Amino acid sequence: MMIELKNLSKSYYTDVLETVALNDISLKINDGEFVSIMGPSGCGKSTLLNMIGLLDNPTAGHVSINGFNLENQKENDLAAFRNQHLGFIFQSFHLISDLSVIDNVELPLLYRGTNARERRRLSEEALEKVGLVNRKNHYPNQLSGGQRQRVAIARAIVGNPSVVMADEPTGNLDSVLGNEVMQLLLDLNEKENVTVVMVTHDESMARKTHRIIRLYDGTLVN
Amino acid sequence: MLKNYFKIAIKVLRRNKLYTFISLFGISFTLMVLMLASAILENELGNNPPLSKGDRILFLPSLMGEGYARQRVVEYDTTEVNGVQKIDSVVTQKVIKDNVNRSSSSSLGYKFYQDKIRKMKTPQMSSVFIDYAPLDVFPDGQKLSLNGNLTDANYWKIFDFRFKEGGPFNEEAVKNQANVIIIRESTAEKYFGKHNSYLGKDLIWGLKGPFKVVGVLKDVTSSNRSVRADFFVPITWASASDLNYNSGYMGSCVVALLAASRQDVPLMEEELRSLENNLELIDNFDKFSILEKDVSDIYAWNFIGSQKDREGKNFLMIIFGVLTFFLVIPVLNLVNLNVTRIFERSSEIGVRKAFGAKTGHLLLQFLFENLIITFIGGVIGVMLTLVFMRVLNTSEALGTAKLTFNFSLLMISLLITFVFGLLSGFLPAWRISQTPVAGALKSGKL
Amino acid sequence: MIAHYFKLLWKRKGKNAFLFVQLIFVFWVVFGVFSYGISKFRYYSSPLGFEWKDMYRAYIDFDAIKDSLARDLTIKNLKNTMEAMPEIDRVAYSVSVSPYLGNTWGNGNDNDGFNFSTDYLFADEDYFDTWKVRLASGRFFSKGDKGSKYTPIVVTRKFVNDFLKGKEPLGFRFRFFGDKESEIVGVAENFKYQGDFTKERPFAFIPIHEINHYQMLNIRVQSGTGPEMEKKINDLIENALKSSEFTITKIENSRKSTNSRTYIPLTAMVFLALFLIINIAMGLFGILRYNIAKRIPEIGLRKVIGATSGAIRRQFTGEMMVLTAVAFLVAAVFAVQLPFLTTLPVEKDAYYMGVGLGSLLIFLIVYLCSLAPSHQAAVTLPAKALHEE
Repeated sequence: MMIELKNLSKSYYTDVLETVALNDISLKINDGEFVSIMGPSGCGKSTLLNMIGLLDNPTAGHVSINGFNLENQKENDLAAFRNQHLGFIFQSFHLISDLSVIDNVELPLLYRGTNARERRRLSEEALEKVGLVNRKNHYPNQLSGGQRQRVAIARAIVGNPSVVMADEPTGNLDSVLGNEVMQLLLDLNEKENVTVVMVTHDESMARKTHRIIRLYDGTLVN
Repeated sequence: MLKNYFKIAIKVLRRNKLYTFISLFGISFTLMVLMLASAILENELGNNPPLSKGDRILFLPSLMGEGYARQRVVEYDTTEVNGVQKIDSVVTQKVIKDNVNRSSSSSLGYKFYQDKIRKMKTPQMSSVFIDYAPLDVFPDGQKLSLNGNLTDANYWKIFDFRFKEGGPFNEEAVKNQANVIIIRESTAEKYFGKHNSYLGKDLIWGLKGPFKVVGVLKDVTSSNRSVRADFFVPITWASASDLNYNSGYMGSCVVALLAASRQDVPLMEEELRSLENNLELIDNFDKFSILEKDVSDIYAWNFIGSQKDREGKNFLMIIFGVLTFFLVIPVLNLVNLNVTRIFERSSEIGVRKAFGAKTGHLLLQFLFENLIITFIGGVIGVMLTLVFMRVLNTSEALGTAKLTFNFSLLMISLLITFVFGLLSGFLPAWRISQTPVAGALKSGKL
Repeated sequence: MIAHYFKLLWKRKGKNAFLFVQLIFVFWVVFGVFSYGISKFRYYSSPLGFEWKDMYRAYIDFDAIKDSLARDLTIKNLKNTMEAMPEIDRVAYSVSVSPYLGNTWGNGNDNDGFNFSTDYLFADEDYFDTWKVRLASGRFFSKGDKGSKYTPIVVTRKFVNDFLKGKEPLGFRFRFFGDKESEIVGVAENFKYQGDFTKERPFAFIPIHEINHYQMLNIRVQSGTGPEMEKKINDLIENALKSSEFTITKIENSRKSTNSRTYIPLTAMVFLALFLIINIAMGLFGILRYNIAKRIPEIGLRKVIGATSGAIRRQFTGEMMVLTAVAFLVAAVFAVQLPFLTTLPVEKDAYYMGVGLGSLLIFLIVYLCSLAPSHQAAVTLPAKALHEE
């Protein structure tokens, strides 16, 4: 699995002005790599991650993941691709508060049409990996921040994706909990050979990864 | 999958009680109004006893005679007689066709029925009756106003009344002017007081004397004038002047024609047309028209139209138009509320999309959620409908019609509920499914 | 034109589109209900011109008596017997036209250049006292009028206003029908016989001896007589007629059922309109509350900059009122054109009054609905508001 960006640009338009978020970015991320994206606020880190995660369309340029081209794909095909190959972790967790922990975790499988028993089994397995299987029937608001992020990680890996996108996964956590979460991601990368792309502010976290990509004002800095 | 949606839907409803209440109030009340309207129409136009064959029946409530305007035409003719010019004038009356200057309409005459209608070939059966025969009785000094229907024996074969006890009278009883009467259960209770059986009791019809009860009818819910009478006696009891007016064409009779199948109804109409064209013209009329009406025309006549026009179909169109208009506001209201509340859930939508939910998945989820709340509203609506039916029935706001909640109405209600749910849910659901993921995830908390 | 309005509406789609369309529909509904209600209320409050209490009518088939001499005698005797009864105040004969009965006899022509079209009935000289019809001027006809050269007729003030504007009605002669001339001898105040909720139409009373067709007995009984009265009247007529070919109706019941034909649909309409209004009011309230909750940071910012609570409150109610006003304009453009497109079932002034009052109500409701959420917005503390972002 290789992620490839070619001459990628993204601009946002308001009524009067054009804001360039990403400018002519070309990048390759290899299979099994753990890459972190760093840069000051507003430099386009999250936008870049959204592009890689097929959550947003570029203004110009190409994105391909292992030969799967983002351009000219139907919305529903992108959705199916994300569901099969990608996992997401967000800074503010984004757990659905009306669903229990296990219901949250099994969400990707739901859209894959996996049967109920298999969903349960895989979700419990994923929760096992993050050490929260005993909390499976709790609701997100009954959990601490670190626990919530671990649930989110379980949700990201339950579908056995080849790439996990993490948008400041430790941003809302203190250093102890942050390290716990980071360790989970490292394990995931090493033991299961999952490619991880992580946006972070934290230099110490970034140093633990294979490669650091630095962004400034929408362009890559080397 | 649906279980997951169901859980979420219930959670959302419980979390936001104010919105749930507003939505449910609108849904249940709207559905109640639609259900009541369907109940009224079903009661009047559905094929229920005694009008189970209603879609095969044509009523002939009136006959219309028309006279055309006449123009005096004088033609001159000159001839020469013995060398002297002589002018002959020929005066003729020219009939200006279709310029009607005289018309008269009335119910049919008994003789007209016997001589013309009864001999028709297309109806399977026909019946003649006089559906207006008022009678005031004073069972305990208090006045009781009753309306009688004077019928022949076929009447009981065309209209399938349900008898609580006894049965109809036959040709023999009609021919012999037997003192027999068939009475509605509620009328019998008012007249005789409450008893287990009324068979064999006598109802005194003024100076005509006692009539023996031979049948007791379960109450009729339809307000159709041909079946809603309080009591029924043989038509031979009608006075000569009621049966036929001067010419014998007109009188006080109504005729019901029963077709063998629905397809035969237009054939009956055709035969009526050819029958009126071959009538001998009397009383200086130039044309006679038999004004037939079906069950829906008869009902519509209470509100719109005239003796002459058949307005059943138009009436239904108007009703559906008004109901649609009525439906627009609550549907818009619900759509509006739903669309507003979507923003509350934009990050949920974002997450679902990030993890691979397709447009169809989200559409289905939110439609399903809306169907659930609509269904709850539908259940409340059914309960409200039952309450209001009681109110309408006991207050007699609908006249003699009595509403009942039956199986077909339940099916109609389910259908209405479903359509309402789809209508009010589709647009918000569609909007939700179109939300861009990136923006949805950025804004809002879960 | 209509396409143009639709274009405008289409351009304004977006956040408030549904609320907007919904408001337009609600305006139309209240316009309709209010004008119908106002027109019916005005009919109801116009005077009847007769008194229905303690009145009965008996519809009698005198034609069943074939011998004309015996028939005339029965007609005469029946009235005398009735009048002799102590419980009965007054009795009069008429043709089968009667208050609250629902039938009409109409006549109109423009013989001799006098154009009229009126409802009428034939009645004997006691009819006015029996129904307590009040006289505006002139006199009612009397027994002495029989055989007079002109048919003496009594018309209502409505007849005079419609056809004899500016002329002296008393003594006015015209041909009502046939060749015999009629002379107006009296003007009655009102006769709104079709029902309390109907519009009064011109009316004329003509002596019944002109056609000698006796169909209806109008009976005024003493007030306070109970339901046993009906039985007494029934026996009396049955005795005189030797037949049961007649029906007696208490006018009070007839009035009830006639009026119910108006107030049942009216109640239903008001009921439905009320529901729709409540429905939209709650919807409005909900949406406003939600929108304001979403804009709490904005409110906080405004307060930090220096907006007062009053200003915030005005802003939110103001926004709603502007939206309502635009919806009103669109609704009114259609509503104002309606009288030119079709004939309305209500009078024009009642219609415009309905449009006016209905709009006021909607504006009031929108205002009230926006008060509570706006208040909530206004009292938000700036620190809290900003923190929520």
